[in-house]
Amino acid sequence: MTMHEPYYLSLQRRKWLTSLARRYPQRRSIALPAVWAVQYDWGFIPAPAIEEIAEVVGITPAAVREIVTFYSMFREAPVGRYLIGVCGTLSCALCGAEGLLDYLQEKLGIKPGETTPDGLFSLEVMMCLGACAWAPAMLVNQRIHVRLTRTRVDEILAWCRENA
Amino acid sequence: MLDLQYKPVLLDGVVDLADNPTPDAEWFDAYRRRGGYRTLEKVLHTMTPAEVVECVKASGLRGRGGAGFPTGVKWGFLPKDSKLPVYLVCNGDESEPGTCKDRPILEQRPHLLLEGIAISAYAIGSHTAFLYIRGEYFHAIEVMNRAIEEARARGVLGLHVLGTDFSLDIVVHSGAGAYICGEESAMLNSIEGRVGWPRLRPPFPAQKGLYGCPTIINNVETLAKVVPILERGPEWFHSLGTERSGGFRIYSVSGHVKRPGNYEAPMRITLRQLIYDLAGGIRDDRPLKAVIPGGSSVPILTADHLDTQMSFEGVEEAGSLLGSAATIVFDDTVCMVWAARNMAQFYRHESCGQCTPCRQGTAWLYKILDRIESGRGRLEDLDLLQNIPTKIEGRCVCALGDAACAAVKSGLHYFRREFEQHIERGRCPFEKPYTQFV
Repeated sequence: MTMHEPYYLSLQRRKWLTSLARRYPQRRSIALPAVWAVQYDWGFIPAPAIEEIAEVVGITPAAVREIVTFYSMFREAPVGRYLIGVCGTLSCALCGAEGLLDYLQEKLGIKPGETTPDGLFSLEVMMCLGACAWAPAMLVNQRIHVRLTRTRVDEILAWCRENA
Repeated sequence: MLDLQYKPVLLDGVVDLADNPTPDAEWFDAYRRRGGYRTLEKVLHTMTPAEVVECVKASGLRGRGGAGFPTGVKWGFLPKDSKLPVYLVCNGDESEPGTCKDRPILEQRPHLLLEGIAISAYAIGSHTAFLYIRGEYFHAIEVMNRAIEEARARGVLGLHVLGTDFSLDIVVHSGAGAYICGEESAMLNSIEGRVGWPRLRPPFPAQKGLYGCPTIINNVETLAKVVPILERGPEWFHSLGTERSGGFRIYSVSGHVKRPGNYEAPMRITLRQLIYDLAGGIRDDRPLKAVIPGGSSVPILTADHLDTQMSFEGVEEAGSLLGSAATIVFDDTVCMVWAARNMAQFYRHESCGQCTPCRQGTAWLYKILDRIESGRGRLEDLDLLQNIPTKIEGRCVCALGDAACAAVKSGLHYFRREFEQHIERGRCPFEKPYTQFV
């Protein structure tokens, strides 16, 4: 068997994973952190990365694939520079989440699951984001935005465009 | 009647995500300056682990995650003669719809949580604790990792905690978008690097949990509360609440109230006080239609239940459960079929697929509710909605399927006429949206 050269998981990432593995009693516990690492660096989990992750973690490629497909935040295809996840669950839905989603679709010209042609924005409906008391809420990449209004959404989209 | 002059202990006035009267509390020095880690110091130097367990037992503290199991009793289930290491897992997966109480602890009071974890780990003899945080809480993960680094550099975590023989490492483990991982045994699988499928019990985690070793799993709010309990004594804590529901708790109030937020209050508070005094009443002073008192997994209550005491036993008496104490409020504009469909959609998405009754049943519940809400319902559908829960409940490895049935069953019980009207008229009789997006 040929060992994979560091490609999807850089040397630096591998070093970090090795030091993290020392804090867990079993090495396979770094499976989720390893998949996260690939997603941070590549934006999604490219199919050929699966074998490399499996090798680094010490589990089968099937076990990695199982993880990638089970956890909904892991993506198997690339998304835009900014992934907008609108919370669609009850508390947000009571406080205008449907209107927020409509507004984003109108502003971006895409439906949930799609990416704008310039590759800047992807839109998704997410399950409860834990910002229920500050509804409606959405996640833009890693950042939560709460108590959204049309003006606030305009500001956020403008900021994204400027900083892309 | 409860005295509302109660001064919050855990969140000292953090009602909104934006307010934070002590923003520097997320840093070690400021926390230490205000007396932080003094309780841990006192515990390590003057108490035995057994004394800590007794103190928590006496406080009447019950789990704040949802099930409400007495914390001290849970700790007591650990085998006494095991040669295996003991693990402590702090559940920060907070994904129950309506619940946003652990977020401010993780993001704004990280050292309070670390102190609580450290005291609890000492009590149960654990030297490795895992803090599982849901993947969507990027900021919380960052704050907690930084706080752990700080605490380690200051000798509060690591080999000799505060100069004693006690050693402790705390590892933050990030989830990746799976509600089911908030279920304790699914969480253990997730930490072990597997998919989050719940495990069959027995064996219970206290006997055979993480990596097959004795494990205790407690919620973030539960472990944070261990600090004031050890600091001020179990009697103080217990006396705030009721006989069977000791202490105070954080109620996340969301939906159609004037001032939604996290309200920390003694567990003698009534639903009316929570909604009308703390959260300011219903928006535009409209009538209250329904309330979910413990996150979307518990049965719905109505305006007739406003005098319910928000203690475990009080809410149970009213026919629901206190769960995670997330209070979701509906005014009279809300269609209960629409609300039930929204919740069914959530459970359909989050069912892990391990057990057939839940995987299939949650999909059916959604499909039927969607049909009724969009005007294509049939009268037989109501029988189906009543029948499906009997095929799910108690037939699966975990309680997710049961949780999915709660809103449907209670919705039909209190608002059956609304379901019938949808079918008779072939459309939803309510006007939408309930809140304009402006």
